Amino acid sequence: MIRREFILAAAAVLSCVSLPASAQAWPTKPIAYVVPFTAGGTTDVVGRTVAQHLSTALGQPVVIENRPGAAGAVGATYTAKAKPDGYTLMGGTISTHAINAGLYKNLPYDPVKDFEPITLVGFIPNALYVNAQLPVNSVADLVALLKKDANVRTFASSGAGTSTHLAGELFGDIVGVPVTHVAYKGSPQAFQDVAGGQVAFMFDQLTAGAGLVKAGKLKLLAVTSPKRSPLAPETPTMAEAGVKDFEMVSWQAVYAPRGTPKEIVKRLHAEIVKGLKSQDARDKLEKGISMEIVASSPEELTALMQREIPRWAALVKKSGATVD
Amino acid sequence: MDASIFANLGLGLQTAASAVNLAYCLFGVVMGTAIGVLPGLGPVATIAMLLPVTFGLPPVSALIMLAGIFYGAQYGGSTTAILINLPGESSSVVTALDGHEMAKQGRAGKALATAALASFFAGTVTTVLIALFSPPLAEIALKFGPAEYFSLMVLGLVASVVLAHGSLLHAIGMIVFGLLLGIVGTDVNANVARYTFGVPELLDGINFVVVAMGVFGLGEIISNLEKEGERSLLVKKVTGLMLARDELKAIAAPALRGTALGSILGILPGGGAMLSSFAAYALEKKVSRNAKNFGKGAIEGVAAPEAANNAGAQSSFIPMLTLGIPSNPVMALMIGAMIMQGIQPGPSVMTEQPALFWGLVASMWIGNLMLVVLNLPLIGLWVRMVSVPYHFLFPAIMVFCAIGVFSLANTTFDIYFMAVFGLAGYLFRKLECEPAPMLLGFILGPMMEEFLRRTLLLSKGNPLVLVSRPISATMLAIAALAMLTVLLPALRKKREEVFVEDD
Repeated sequence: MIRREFILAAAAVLSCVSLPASAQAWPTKPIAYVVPFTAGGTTDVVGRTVAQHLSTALGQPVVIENRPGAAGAVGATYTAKAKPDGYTLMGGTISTHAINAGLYKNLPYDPVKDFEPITLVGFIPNALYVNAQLPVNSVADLVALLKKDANVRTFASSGAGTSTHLAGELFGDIVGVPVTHVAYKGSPQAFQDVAGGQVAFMFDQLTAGAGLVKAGKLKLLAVTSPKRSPLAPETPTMAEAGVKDFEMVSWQAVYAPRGTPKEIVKRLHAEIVKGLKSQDARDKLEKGISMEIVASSPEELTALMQREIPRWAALVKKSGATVD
Repeated sequence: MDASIFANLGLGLQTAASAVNLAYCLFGVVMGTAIGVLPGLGPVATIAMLLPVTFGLPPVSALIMLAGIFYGAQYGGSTTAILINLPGESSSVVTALDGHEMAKQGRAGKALATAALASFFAGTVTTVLIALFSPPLAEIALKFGPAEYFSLMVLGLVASVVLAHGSLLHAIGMIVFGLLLGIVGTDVNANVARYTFGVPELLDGINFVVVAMGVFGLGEIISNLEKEGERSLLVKKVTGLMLARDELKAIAAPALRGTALGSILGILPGGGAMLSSFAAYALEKKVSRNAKNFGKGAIEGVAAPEAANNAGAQSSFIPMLTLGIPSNPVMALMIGAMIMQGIQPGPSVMTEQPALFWGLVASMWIGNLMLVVLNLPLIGLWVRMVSVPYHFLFPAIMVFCAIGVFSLANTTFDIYFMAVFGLAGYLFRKLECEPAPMLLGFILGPMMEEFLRRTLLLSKGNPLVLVSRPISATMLAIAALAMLTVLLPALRKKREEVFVEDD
């Protein structure tokens, strides 16, 4: 009888401690960090930087899994369906968690309902580049030229429906000149044709065109962020250059599947934020991809998505780009 | 200028020849050879996996190693193409045409030696080219707009008919089939999904490796298993690994032409390097005195595309190093590696980090030397692989194909899809349809569409730009000429005499 009570008591005690114990024990195996784009791109660079710091902090390897395809939808769908046990994370972006919602009519995942926001890693300003042969040295010059010469009304983008495409459409809309969109499979080829003078201008990430600016093939006219970038302090913002209401920064964030235990989300948030504040992360992200590191709370990330999703849906509608 | 070149190369050699960098270079080329030899595993997946390892290394060592993997894989890739008719990359598709025929005749060793020597020659020449002329060559790359690329692809497609040595009708049918396969996926301009049947994995199109592994790898296995008795007869005793003097003489000119063509095409980031081996083979088949043996084990048919392929691989570093424009996924990864190291790829690399730039260039030559020293003795080992009983060999090939295909996007969908293409490949063999023209159609079709639509978009719908731009017009003229030689009835009769395979 005493023995039976003891066993019951022991079982009761064990059942009480077992839940928090399993959360404490996390992680006991490697964690997968899904990058929904190809290796070597911006999201990959962010993912690898975060993963490196996270592995050191958690004592378990954090393995990058590149699952590219369909503007990030393949990797995002995979993460949305993964077990919410803290062993699957994902590097989400303005594409996967804002633009796609307005762009795809049948998106196989829900950027809001299927994910547990962890942190907004940071903002990345886009920049306005023009071919260096064009007789323009400022945004005002470009607008004047566009109004005068119908032959230069072309802009390149890294793909239909990407932020670089929508930026061009928005620009044409604000300055009141119809511009022809020329889509490319990724930034490099778009840069190649703007540098070669085939296409007049384009919007893309600030660091992506730095090499061609140095080579004298491109001119950097403005950044699309609300503030100037420390990497190009001489370059004005679009607002300073006279184009009002043109703010367009892409962003990078970390998500887990919806239902991941709160304890784990908290721990992940704390460790990732700590990692992002390190000198190493700042060197890689601020200098490498011109990111403005934010390291926000999960709530701030949710708020950002609530602002961004309708805004981009409206822009997509205006641009006429949708996908089934 | 000249003196500074020597000073720079001296600095480069000094950097590349340090014990640590030599070790990374060796590791890179060994790794590259290994993944090149394993069917399906390519440099993209390998470099992506090794990328985190490079963060801890000094930038020069990291880039030297990654570059070594890249061109090492070009060497290794020809091995499986020659021995088991399984091209792992688009560039080795044409190597398989004559290389595998040579292997069937017991000349596998010679084919492999030809591939290694031609690659080494091309690698050496192209290294010098990069060292001397990188900046002006990069200017050429920017002269190529959508119209020029489109005309280049037209030329490539017309030339692809030459790849076939069977029926012309079958070849054209296969090209068209390849074009259709290439259309699958999201249309770049309008963002409309085509032939995807609601399958999200198809939204980005079908991966080349999936098609190649299926049609060549699995297709070959199925048809071999059907006639296992005959197959052992096909592999005759391997004779002589080294090349005789007259054979060396026979490959000299093709290797030279292949190098020239490959290094020019490699500079074009919009898909030039991909065309280099096809173009070199097509050119060689037109100019060679031995043309009638092409497709039947002509040694020139191995030397030219192998040289072109390696030259193209190496000169594709030029737009990356001088402009920061990557010409293929591997270069994009290397740019990623540079960014993670805090280096902004572009012209400033050469001036601000001369040790890095010249060290990398010098390491390419050292790496090529290592590869030839490494690969020549290995040939004896590789050719013995063919004599492994087939019931041991084919499961291994299948496993590696599956691993390789899985590594592309970490999805099992691609493996099932490869199996479908395996059945298709078997069917093609039964119908005597050659898969090489199909693969070229598959690669070129979507690119042609993309470039043509872009051309027309920029010219506001005026197709005359294709002939009013000189480079584009020249290429179209050559394409028309090549087309005429194929289509003129009198010539056509001759073509059939020359090209029909007598089984």
